[in-house]
Amino acid sequence: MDAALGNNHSQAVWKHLENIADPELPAVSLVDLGIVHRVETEENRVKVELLPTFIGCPALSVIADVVARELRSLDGVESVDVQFVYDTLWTSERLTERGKLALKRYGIAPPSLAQPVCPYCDSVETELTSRFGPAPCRMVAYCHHCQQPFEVFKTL
Amino acid sequence: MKDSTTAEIALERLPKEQREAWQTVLLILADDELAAGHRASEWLGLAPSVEEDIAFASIAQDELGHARFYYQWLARLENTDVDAFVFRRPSADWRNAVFLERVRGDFAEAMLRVWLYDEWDAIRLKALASCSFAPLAVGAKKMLCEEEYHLEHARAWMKRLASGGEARVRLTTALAHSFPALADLADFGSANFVLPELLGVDIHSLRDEWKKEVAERLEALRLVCPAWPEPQSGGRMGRHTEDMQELLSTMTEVSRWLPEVSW
Repeated sequence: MDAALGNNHSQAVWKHLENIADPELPAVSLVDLGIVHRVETEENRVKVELLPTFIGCPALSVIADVVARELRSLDGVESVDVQFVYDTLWTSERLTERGKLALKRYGIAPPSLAQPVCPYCDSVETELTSRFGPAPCRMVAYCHHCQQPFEVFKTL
Repeated sequence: MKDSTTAEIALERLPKEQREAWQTVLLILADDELAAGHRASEWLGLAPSVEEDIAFASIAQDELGHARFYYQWLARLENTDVDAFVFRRPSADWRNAVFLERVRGDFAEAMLRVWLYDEWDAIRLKALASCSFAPLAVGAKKMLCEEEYHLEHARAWMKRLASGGEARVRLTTALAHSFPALADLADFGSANFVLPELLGVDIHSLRDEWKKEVAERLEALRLVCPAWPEPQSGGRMGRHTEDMQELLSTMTEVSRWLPEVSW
């Protein structure tokens, strides 16, 4: 028989969430993105509260579905309730250092109020070319040093 | 996908009159965002550059997301779903400002619309951000952060269009064409009177703040601020133009064909 997921098992859930990526940012886990707000476990029930990065992000419902599916596959979990909450504000400061590094490796400059640093050559000879990008959370910049366009995560 | 239910209780527990006032306000906010988002989405593929295509698409996506945020609260209060608000309401049930339903003009007029609306939206969102209804206040703070990018973009374009040549001529024409349609934008219809109770601020001071912001920015661009029309509740009471019919007919086309379709 599977062990019941007790109250102090929320750590196991957090650990599992570290392996689930944002579908639009496969390099960064939901935990490193800072969108996991609260995890509660009671017997074999799990409740996860997430914070939306952008209210209109089209990935929100996909993220909720993936989290529910992944957590249901854990031993001892029978029901999973995933909700997006507005208890507190998600800001780009919630990104972990590991998350910022993962973004950079993926070719997206981490959020910064200073001049964006090119994720490819680390130059600051950069120019913001558009405040909008391929996803609500990103903008587009150009590096004059390595002559590459790149994306910048928005500061919120 | 569900949102937190903690606030649902609070909203539902409000006395009937207050709850209905909130519903009026939420519907105005939602319908404005939806109309603005729909018209912005029409620019995808038509804007003068690929960056502007993406900008309009991104702005549209944000506004539609904000609309969904408001509709979710309304759907809960009225025990229905978000799609019922978007796809199954006749024009007279919509509460958006007439200015936002107008058919697409040229690029100068479209950018002017984004700018005028987002300046107003920022002012009312600031009021909403300190309201007593916590999840709405947090949502408003979030939207303000997102809208900052729209405002910066629109302000930069206003400056660029005002810099001279054909762009300035078109912008001047757009100003003359747009201002008479602004009568019901800075308005909350039947909720105007209860605004101090809900948002701690009255409609006149919100409206004045917006007019001042717009006038000062136009002056900085050495553009003449046209006369402001007398405030009216027009769209806030469901009085719309033929443009709204056109918007709804396009937007609901697929859902009318296939009512059982899942979005």
